[in-house]
Amino acid sequence: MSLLIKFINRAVDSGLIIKLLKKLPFISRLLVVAAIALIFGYLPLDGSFRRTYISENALMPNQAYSQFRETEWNIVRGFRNEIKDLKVWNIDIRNKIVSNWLQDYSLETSIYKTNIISDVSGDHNSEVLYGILNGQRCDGTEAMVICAPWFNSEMEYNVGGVSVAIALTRFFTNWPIWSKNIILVIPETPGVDLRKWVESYHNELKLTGGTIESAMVLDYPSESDSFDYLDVEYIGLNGALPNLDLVNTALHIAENEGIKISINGMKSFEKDQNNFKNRLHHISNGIQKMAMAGLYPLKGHEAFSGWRIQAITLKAVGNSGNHDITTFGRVPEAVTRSVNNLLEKFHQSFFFYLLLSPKLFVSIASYLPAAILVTVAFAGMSIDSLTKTNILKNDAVETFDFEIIVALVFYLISIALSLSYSKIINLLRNKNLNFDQQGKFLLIIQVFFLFTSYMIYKPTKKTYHMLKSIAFMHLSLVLTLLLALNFGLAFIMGVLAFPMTFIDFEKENKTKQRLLLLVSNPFIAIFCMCSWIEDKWTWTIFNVMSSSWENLGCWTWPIVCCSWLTTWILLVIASGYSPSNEKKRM
Amino acid sequence: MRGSFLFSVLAFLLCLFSYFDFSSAVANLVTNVENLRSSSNFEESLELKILPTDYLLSSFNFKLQSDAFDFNSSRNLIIDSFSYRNHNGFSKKIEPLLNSANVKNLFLKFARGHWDYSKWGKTPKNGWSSAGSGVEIWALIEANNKSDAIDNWGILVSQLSGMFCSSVNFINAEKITFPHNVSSYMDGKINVKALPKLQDGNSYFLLRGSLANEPICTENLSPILRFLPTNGKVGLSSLLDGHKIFDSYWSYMSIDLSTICDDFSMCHYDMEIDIHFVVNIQKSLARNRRPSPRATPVEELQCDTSKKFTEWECFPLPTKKEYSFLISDIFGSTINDRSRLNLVRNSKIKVLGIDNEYWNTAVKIGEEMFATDNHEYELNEQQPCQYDIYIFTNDNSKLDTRLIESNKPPLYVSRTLTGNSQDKGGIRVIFTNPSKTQDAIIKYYETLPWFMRVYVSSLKISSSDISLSNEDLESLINDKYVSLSDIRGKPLHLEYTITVPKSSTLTIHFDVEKPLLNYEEYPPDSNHGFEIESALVVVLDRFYPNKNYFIRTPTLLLSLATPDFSMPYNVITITSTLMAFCFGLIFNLLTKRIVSVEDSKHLITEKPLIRIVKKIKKKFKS
Repeated sequence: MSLLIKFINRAVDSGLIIKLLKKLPFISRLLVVAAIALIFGYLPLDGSFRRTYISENALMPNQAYSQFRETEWNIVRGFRNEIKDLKVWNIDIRNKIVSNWLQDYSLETSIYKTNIISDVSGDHNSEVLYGILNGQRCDGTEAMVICAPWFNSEMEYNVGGVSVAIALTRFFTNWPIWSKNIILVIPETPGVDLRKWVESYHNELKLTGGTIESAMVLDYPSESDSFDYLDVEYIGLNGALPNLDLVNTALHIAENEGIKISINGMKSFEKDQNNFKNRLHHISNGIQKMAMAGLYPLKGHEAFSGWRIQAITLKAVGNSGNHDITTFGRVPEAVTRSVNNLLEKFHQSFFFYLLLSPKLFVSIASYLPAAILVTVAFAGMSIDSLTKTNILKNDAVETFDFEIIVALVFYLISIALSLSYSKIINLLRNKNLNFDQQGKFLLIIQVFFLFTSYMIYKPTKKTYHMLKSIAFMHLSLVLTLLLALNFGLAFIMGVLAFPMTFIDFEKENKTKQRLLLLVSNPFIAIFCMCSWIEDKWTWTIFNVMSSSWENLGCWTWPIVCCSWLTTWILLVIASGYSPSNEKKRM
Repeated sequence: MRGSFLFSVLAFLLCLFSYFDFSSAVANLVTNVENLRSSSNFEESLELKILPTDYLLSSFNFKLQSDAFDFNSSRNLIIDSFSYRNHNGFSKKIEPLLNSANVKNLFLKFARGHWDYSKWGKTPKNGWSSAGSGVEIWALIEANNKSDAIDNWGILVSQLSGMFCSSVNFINAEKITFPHNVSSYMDGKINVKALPKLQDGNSYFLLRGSLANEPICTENLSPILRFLPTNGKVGLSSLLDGHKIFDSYWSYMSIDLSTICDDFSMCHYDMEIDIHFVVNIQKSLARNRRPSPRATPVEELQCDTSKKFTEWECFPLPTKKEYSFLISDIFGSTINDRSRLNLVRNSKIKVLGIDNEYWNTAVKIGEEMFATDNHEYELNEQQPCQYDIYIFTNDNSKLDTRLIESNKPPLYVSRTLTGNSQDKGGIRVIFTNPSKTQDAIIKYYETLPWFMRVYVSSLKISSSDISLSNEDLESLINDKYVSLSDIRGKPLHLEYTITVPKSSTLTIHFDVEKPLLNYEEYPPDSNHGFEIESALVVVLDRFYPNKNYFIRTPTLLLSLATPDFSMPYNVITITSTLMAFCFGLIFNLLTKRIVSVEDSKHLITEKPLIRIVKKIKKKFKS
């Protein structure tokens, strides 16, 4: 103990603590640099990642010979001919015809009708056809979903996907091995209507087939017999990932079938996994997709996030490779058989991971520290501002400090303001502005707010520091809550918002500070990032965010509004401060 | 000489003895056969019912009756083990089973699979022959009070679990209920007037318990066959093969045991064994040809020629229209001889549900075929021989429409869990009355385990008929019986009498809370979820109470929050660290002085030895 006392004494004596407190801004910046270095520098390095493996013994992928071949090829083509002709019909007629087919193969079918009120795609009626194959040996309490939307996320007619799904389900009816029901779902698109179906499956549908354990969305838009490579998409909404075992099973099976595989549309087969740059590429793409899930047209598997359903999308890309359509069908066949082997729900392998290539991964323990470092950096900046308010010094204790109360009141105001932001979009909707204009209008509001607010209110020095302190603490706390749930979003928000910690209105150069604030504005930052990623101006992004919150339950919009925006508003309020003013007051 | 004489005397004596012995044995045999003739009441029959889209329901029925005995003396049977009783083929296991637990009536049901109500109609025997997936037991027990009855139940189920290959013994007090409205369920099943007289102070208790999704393996068939005098070797029971039964879409086995007494306390046991199962004819025949589920060979491909049809393109037709088969193809064996225990009633086989114009049936005896018009066959050959049934159709879609019409279920029920959170959810039951003319009055009998905490007050009713107001909907529930669950004690038991208006759908919904269990209460496969037993729904028949129709809902899988079972290690380490930390903190506070930074500097710079020297110096100075 005396050793510790000695140490503390030394620290106090040498003024180290004071020095540390003074160096806090520097330390915070160092932490953020360390966080970025950890993700983009350390994780892709040899030795920091692991090879994937199947953790659940019961899965046994590819242990049995896949049977979807030989005459099944003829049958897939037979279905494809018919489905090709169905394209001209409306969804209800298409569904009725397919529903009759499925009933012939003794599936119980039903059609779920939904009315989609969507900001982006417009209000329309849609329906989802689904059929339940009651497995011969199952007790009807668990189910596996095979889903093939009529149109895929690029709005191409999913002729191959639907034919394979129907042919596969028909093939499955002859098998006595099923211990779980198989549900075939055919929505119009893999987006909102599928999501609505999943929602009502868990609430109101009359015909149900038990708890859904896994879901596979088949996407094969080409009419050709062959495809180039298989793309596996797995990143769900709100940071939900399917169990790594399912992704591994699918990739393992596809590889065994000799198919070129790719994850997240990365064309991984072209990229040597022994190369640092390729791994870096995969990891940054993974984080970005995790953060932006729900802001792009859904691939399908996202619709299942949130009900403990492990979902993936299998997408056949191209129309000229060596792999044929039944090879594509053998992947869902073998995955279904693997999942069918399970006695318990998926629980063995990781639910939080990043893939560095189809065969390499890092688990949450390796990458979470990065997000923690970012939140600690914000907390550090908050403490730094707090020390500058002098309320920590003993002599400055007052029971009623007006300047601090002002800051707290502003905090409440900014929370209220940011909460009402989600409604602002709704208000804009009623005006005669198109989506592009709405987006532009929102951005202009930000700039306007930034460059006018300081004229209205000028805080005192103490209030200024207090405002900053509260702002950073708020963001730090929200990021802490978020970081385990949706790492991608927490990390990207933290990094993009970080420029706001550089602002210092005690300096005379206000323009530079305002520019920093402008850059770290949530809407401007998100808009810039999306435009950069998509390589075009994405004015509609805010409408997409808001509508994906309403229709899909994607958190990104409320989280950005309630954390980042609150912080930003507080800082804008604080930006009225200037030392020259203070002197005048004195 | 002497030796030879002795030898001949011995031989004579031996002969004499052996003669007497032999003759007595013959006499015994004769009397036994006569006894059998007089008292054996073994009947067996098989119904083969063709269901739509090529499904075949096979219903075996075996009836047995024991000899009459004096019930009062049989109460003491266990003590008096030397008492003599004729054996007429009625299984000897039954009496000790019933007596040891004081059970008078026992209904034991094993079921597995999915019954397609919309296509196949009612389950056999007006739904009495059905059970939720798993095991279900009803027992009428004579006991002094409820807790005695539960004790007796314990004896019964532990005996049953020894007899059958299933964990029946897990149906303990946490799972059993005492049906409230007995007559709705047991009218026509238990003959109250024929029950034995009660002993002083005793009364009858009806108990019901079930176990969801108990895997019903092939081993469960053998004990049932052992109850039969033919032992599964002769007669219709020789068709039964465990592998074929459990390879079906829906299978059901039951034993109904009842004690029937006349006024003079002479009683006998009645046993009825039912075995039903559904197979798909075409798939079953195809599996004989190709045991592994491979793609259909080209020559067997059934293509729709009205659509595009080439060497590589084929739009598949649903099924073959024309086919024929022998039931031995489906059961895996022929009928080995007939039961010769009952000389009056022969084994009967009947083929049902078909349209005579499009279907033919015949019995195959040896190599010859014989057909009848009504598709009923009696097995009555004098010589032992192999029987088989031949069925042929040229249009499989032509079925007996009258039978299908009359067999339509009066109510459809579906039950599901709603919600997705780990701590809260709901349970929803949907009743659909397809009848256009008649309201259905039903009994909804729900037993839910204590760890599924249902808020009975949260009942919400809704109907497809929007014109009904909330009060109208409330009034549809005519009678409520609720017995709340005890944690780790007894299950929640609901019995509601509900009116389901004609051609409408009624939905009831309860909120459910999912608690955390104790660590050791989680089963080894806790991540599978917890199986919830099916609910029983009885559609009451206004005029004939014994025609009540029984439905069981599908079972449910409740997923509770499951701890990560490696977590105890983490918890132990964290708590230990925390405790050590707190202890150290308090210990330090109690044993150490708090000094200011300046004082501590002095304390540290002065080494203990110097401090002692200083103290001594101080003393000297003073």
